[in-house]
Amino acid sequence: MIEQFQAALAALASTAVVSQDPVAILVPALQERGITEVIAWADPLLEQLGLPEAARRAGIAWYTAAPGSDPAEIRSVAARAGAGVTTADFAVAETGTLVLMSGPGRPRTANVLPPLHVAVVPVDRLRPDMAALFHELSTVAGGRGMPSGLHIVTGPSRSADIEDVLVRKVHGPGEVIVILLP
Amino acid sequence: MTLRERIRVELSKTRKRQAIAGATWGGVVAKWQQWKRLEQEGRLQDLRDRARDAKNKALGNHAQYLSQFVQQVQERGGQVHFAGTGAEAVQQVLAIARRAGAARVVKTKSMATEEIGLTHALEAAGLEAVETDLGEYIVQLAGEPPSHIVGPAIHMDRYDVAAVFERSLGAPVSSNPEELAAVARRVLREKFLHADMGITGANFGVAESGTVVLVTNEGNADLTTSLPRVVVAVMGLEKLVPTWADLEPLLTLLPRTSTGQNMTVYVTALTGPRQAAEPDGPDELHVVVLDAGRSRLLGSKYQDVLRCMRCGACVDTCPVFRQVGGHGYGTVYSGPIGVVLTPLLQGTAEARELLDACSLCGACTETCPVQIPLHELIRSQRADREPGRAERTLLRLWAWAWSSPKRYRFIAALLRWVTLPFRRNGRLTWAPGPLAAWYAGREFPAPAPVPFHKRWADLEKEVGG
Repeated sequence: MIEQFQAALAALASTAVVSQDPVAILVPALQERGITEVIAWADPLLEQLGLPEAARRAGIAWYTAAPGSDPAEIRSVAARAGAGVTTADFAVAETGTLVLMSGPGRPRTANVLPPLHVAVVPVDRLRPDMAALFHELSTVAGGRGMPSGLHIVTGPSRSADIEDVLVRKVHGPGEVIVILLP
Repeated sequence: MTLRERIRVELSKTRKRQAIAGATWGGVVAKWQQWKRLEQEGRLQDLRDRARDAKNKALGNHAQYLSQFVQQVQERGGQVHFAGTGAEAVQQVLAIARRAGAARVVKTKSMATEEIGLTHALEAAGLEAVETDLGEYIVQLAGEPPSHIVGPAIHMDRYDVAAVFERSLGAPVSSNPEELAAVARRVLREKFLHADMGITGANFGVAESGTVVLVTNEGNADLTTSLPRVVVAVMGLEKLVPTWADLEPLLTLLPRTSTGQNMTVYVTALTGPRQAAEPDGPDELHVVVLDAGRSRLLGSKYQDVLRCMRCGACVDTCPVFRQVGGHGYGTVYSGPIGVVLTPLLQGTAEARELLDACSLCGACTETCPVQIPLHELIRSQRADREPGRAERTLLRLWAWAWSSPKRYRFIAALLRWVTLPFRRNGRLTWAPGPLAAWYAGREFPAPAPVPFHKRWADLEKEVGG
């Protein structure tokens, strides 16, 4: 499933890396792209992995959208950040898809406004295909647990509206990096 | 302009026709590859059957699922409005904007809002309404209607787009598609960040959870529904599906038959407005449920057309569309789905004129992921249409002539003789007068030198003695 997920994302001009040490992937990726500011979900997983401190040590401003933060501030940081870092509630191997559920500390703009989206995803959240994903979503809906914003994201923003030529980074990011945690 | 006049105008635009031919052919190839892959994996028919059944389930028990949908939306703090007509829907959206004090609106591409002329109405009411889908933004700036239900600007090439951008921005622009998209990103980013209201359509409405589902590739639906404080989704009442499980075959097929992708980049599912402590998302979520001629199709012989999810597969494959483009039809919905849907929704004689823009080849029916018998629905509507006096007289004469063997043989003998000057290698390749147009791109087999019934009779004599 992991190789399939990686192949699916590679076909979309994006990458999925398996790593026990996301710091070693994320920080150089941000530096290579000259990114100096990041907006991140307030997910305990990102804290546990030590991502905020590592980024800050490397001179990157890391803004965590903690619950209770000023929404206007979150929006303006997201609008100027070079990358948005989130987790994902599910991922789908067949298509290279990420599922992001909105909630406190989880701004919907974090994966869309910045030009790069990085998602840190434990491999046990990987499902083989759409049928398996929708089975999960049925359970969520049945338990009245549907978030107000559910975002199913497959690769970077794109369009073929001009001459049927594929163009990336239209409104959302031009690139997606997924770090899979074994 | 009549249909014929519009088509004549469109056929004379060589560059536009080239752009349309290129884009639709690209679409056909991309879809065909996906279709073949699913077929080889043995999944195609199962997916198509389950997709059809999911929509049929919702349409067959529509009142029940609609009330479940409404109840769920309300339970989550959303507001539902019912619009019997397009004009009513427009009034409702304007009222929501007024109450919210909204002045700046961002919109996603939506056929339902196109159908009711919402963008123009918002502009007429003094609001700034900006289309954010790249293709739709281009045609909005150009002041043209979209020409395709999936690719609104497929009739323009890169130089046309650059010219449109230059005119609106007042600065020179490269004709490179990537740079054109970057210009749109920059301009529209500001619009998103300052909008008070977001307007979307709805690709699906999930009854069990009261969720509005939107499908985009650019991410504009995510921004349209995350940044403004008020969001309005205009949803045709046929968009319902009962459950999330029902959505799976539909969302699996839609990107494959629409753009040839395995999966759309962004599926945005909204269940009510933002909840307490959420950092973004709309304070108000409104769903305007649009009828505008749809409910009278429920339970009728035309109910099948309500399964349509506007993927555009039939449009790209249609030989008529590939020649004349969306503007030749002159209606919001073009291609086979437009020919079927427009007269049914509008019910006017003018709309029924569209039924002639079809050769009944059936390619649309074959490519439809939810198995709508499109060409059958066109033929059936043609049969419903009252024939004119000339047509009726001609058909009566035809029936009289061909219902007696003697008259049939006489006419056949006459034709063998009359067609003699028009034959080339056993084919009829041209004809004078009103038939010339038909023969301009086609030919017809010439009548056999010895008719079949004569050969049969001779053979019988020979064998039976």
